[in-house]
Amino acid sequence: MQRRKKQADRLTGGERLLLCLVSVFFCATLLRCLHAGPFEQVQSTVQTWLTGSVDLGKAVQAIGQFTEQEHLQAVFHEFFPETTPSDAAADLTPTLTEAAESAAPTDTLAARAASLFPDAVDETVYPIDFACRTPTEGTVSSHFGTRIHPIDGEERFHYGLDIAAPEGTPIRAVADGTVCQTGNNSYGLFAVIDHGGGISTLYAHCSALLVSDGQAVKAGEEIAQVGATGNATGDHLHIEVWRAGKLLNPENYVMLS
Amino acid sequence: MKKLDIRDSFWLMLAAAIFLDSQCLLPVFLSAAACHEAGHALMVRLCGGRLRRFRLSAAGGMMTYRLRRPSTVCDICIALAGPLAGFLLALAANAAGCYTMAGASLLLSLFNLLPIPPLDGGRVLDALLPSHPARLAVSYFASCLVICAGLYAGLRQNGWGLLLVGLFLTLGQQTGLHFHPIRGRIELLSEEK
Repeated sequence: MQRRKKQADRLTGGERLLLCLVSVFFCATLLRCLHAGPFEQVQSTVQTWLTGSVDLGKAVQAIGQFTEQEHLQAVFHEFFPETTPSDAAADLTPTLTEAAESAAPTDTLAARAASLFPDAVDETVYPIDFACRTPTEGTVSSHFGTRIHPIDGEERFHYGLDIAAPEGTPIRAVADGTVCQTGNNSYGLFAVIDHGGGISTLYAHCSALLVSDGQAVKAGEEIAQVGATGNATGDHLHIEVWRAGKLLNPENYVMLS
Repeated sequence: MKKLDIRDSFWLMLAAAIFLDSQCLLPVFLSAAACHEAGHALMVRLCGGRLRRFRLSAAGGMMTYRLRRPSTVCDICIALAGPLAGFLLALAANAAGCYTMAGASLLLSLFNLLPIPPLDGGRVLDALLPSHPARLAVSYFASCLVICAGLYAGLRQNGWGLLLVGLFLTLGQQTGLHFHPIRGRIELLSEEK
């Protein structure tokens, strides 16, 4: 770096610039630590613009758990479509599976409101920091989302995922957690497990519940058995994934057999 | 002789990063980067070479070294040693349960393996195919992939950081510039060996 002749009491251009930049650096650090109001807004606006709805910390942590194969599939589910049961296979299986939802529609708005379950939907795929297991062995009879009802042709929203299976098939917790709610309403015998991090799962239409309120469960532990209690005409498990009061698409998170 | 050269733009970048980082990810990524560079430095030593200069700027860290004899194999080994150190750190952190560190290190290593100069993958590419027309094609293709991934991520999750990274990589190649905007000069650099 060439130094031009300078007065003894003046800084060169380069030194002045460096001083400015180091001051900027210190100011930024200070602002960060002081949590000054308007700057917090700037911070969160820029953050949201850069990373969107992805929580960078959680995503990095999820990536760091790369040795758990199942977990990767659950997080990046939509990028590995071969793990999703194809719609073609579901169409070929006879209407045993359609009958599970035919006569008494469970998901009318009134029934939903009466059940006090969440009804706002969140389409984002969130990385979660635990592995999700298969809840039960069966075939998917009804996907999450808007569907045309097979009998009356009405368009209705399905708040969860239906997996058809014979009565008594074990239903397993998809991850470690605590049972925070059990009951019996239009969704039949149901249990809700809280997995922490704002995420919980609902298991409905069970023929029998094997857990009680407040019980801690491990991933893969049998918690109930498939049935047709409540407004259902066939044996199936209705599973929902909730995050912070909103419904997530279970197919993005739950491993299917 | 100054071995560590910190550009002015580095302070600006660091200030921005500290300001934006609300989850304390920056120290994790910096440690992973340090391990990555240590991998490079170690391999330079193992190949009997000497570290000439380590430069930190807004564009990241760049290491220049001198070997006793020019050797393609050594160049490739040195370029790959960084990601290798990163993978080892990721495995160790994963085993220890520090998943954030593991993820950061893994991301850094995988990113560096992209065949786009001046990343490590790009250095491998340069070493394998010096002045071969396919070299430019491969690196442009790879940077286009990153831009596409950035667009997809942006549209899907409303986050445009990846797209910015892709643009940065593509433009960095296009002009062959290693720019020092803060210094007010733009240097055209030929092969830095």
